[in-house]
Amino acid sequence: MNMENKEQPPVVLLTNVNKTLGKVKRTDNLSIRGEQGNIYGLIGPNGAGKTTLLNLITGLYRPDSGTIRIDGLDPVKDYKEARKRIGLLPQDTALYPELSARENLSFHASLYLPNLKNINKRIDEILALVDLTERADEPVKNFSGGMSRRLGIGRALLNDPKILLLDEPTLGVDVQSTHKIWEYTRRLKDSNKTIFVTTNIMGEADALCDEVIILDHGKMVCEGSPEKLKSDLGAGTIQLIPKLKDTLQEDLIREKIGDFSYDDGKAIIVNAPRGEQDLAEVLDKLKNVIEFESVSLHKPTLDDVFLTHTGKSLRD
Amino acid sequence: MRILRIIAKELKCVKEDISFNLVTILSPLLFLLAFSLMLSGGITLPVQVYPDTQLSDFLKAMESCKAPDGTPYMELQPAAEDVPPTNAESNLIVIEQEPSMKDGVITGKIIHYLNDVNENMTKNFRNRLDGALVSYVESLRSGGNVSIAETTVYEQDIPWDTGFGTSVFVFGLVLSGLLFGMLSITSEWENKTTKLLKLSPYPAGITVTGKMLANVIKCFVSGLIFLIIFFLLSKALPVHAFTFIASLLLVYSIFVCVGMCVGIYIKSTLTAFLISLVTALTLWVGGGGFGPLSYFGDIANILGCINPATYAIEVVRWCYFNGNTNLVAGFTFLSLAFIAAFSLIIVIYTRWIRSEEVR
Repeated sequence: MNMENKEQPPVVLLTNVNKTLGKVKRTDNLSIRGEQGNIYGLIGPNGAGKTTLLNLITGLYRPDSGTIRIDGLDPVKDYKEARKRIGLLPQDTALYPELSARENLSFHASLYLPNLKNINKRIDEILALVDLTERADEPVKNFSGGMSRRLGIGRALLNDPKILLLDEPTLGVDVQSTHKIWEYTRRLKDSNKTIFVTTNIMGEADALCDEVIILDHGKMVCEGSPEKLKSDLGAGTIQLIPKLKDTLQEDLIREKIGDFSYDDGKAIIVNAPRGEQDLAEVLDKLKNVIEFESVSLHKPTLDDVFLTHTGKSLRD
Repeated sequence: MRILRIIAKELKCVKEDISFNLVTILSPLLFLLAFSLMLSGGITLPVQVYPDTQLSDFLKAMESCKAPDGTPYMELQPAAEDVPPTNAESNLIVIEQEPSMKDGVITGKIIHYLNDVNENMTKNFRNRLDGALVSYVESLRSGGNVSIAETTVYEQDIPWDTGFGTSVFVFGLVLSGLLFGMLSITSEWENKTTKLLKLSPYPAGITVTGKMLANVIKCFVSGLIFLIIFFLLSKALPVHAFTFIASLLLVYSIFVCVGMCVGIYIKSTLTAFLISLVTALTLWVGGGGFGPLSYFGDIANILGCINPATYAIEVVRWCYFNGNTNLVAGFTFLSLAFIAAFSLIIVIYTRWIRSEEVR
């Protein structure tokens, strides 16, 4: 996290924001701070309110109550100024399939740039940034999903926005393109942009984000750095699979290592709040008691954090 | 600069809906070709007669009744016998008593069995038979004359297919304006790019004007193709080129703006196509495209007064054929209609981009 900016006013500030669409409350008393130079991961089950939150930040939705400030501006009342500070990659990418990458950017420039004098140079820079220079004049309908998403990110950057909103940037994209997109996003963080990324991929949030905000039913259920959220669940558990389960001396094991449980009736599960240190101690204490088929130390992942906070029931 | 980029984008995106765009050329062309081929040779009404034409002086005279282009008004075919041709293909004229003059009085009896159930065709037969009878009686009359002096709207007698061609061209104007206007917005819905239009921090008027101008260019291309084909068929060219272009510019702009307004609400390309086709046809017929408004009732004439297609048809016909057309009234109405349509799209578009986009 970019700690030096904590003193500055937040670039994005939502205070007690409520928004209902139809009969569904999409955001429920939501308060979020977005500091300059940080990447925020918005994660949550389908319908949790992630895209609604981005639409509120852009001003496409008006909050029913609460306040939103973008660089100190109201995105609804001061929409002209606020929108100059925002770059958006929508979930649908939203490109014109018959136009080339360069033509798509050129049209976007006519909608978003105050001055079109050096636009061709700027377009070349953007194309180079997202590695599309060689395919710049090809119709976008020939592009793969990854190329389209990269072009979409490039388009969002065309007006050099302070705030970048990426709605599921790696949705349907292959591993190589996913890593490229992560690389661009990190580079943009280094140029002091405030980035909000919605995603359903926990690995993406873990690898990319300074802070993760988990939303469910429009409410923020937890927030913090991925490390903090994982460590809040405990350092981990040790899984021991014995070679001969029938001859296990449970009392002797309990005497050596204290309390334990069985997972699927096969593996011995031991809490390991100190991680590797606990693993070494447990193995040492049990070395003359049982022989093991396998031993593993399981550390909590963001998946565990997500499921802990949002439950395992399906959402529609 | 900004507008030029918007125009360039709109013109390049024409490939997205190429089949729908072709409709703007093909629909009026099909109208023109179908009606021209059917009607350009004149219409002959076949009718059976009894007795044989050689046995009746009146029927002989009737055979010689012809339109100015030489087409006989009725094609007489001898009937086998004087019974009503129930379910027969053609009508039957039976001369019960040959029309003749005796002591200055003309008498005779003709029975006309009409098989056509169409009221207009019944009138048509009656008119042609009455015309033939009047001509025949005229030849028997000893003296006197009633003269008719014709004053026409247009300087020359316009061939039916050429007059219809200019009228169909206006149908094309309305159709292409509406369709291109609608497609330029529905394509944004279908590409899911409406969010990007809405988030632009710059005035909506620039985007609207850019889209409108691009659509007018597309309309001109579509209209030009029609005009070339029309010229090849009829050898007709507008005699007032500047007025013609000015009127096209106004008419296209009006309907492009209206189309864009509708496109914001309907969202679907297919719906846009159907609405454009039906609306264009309705406005064209209601504007006197298929026949002068004076043929129809009061309501049709009141609606015709507020229909831009009415004025477009009159102005375009004048550009081709001269005549007694009130150009000032036509251009005043079209200019006011354009101002209203352009203001409407600016207001609707601005409200739309400021509205919430709910999926």
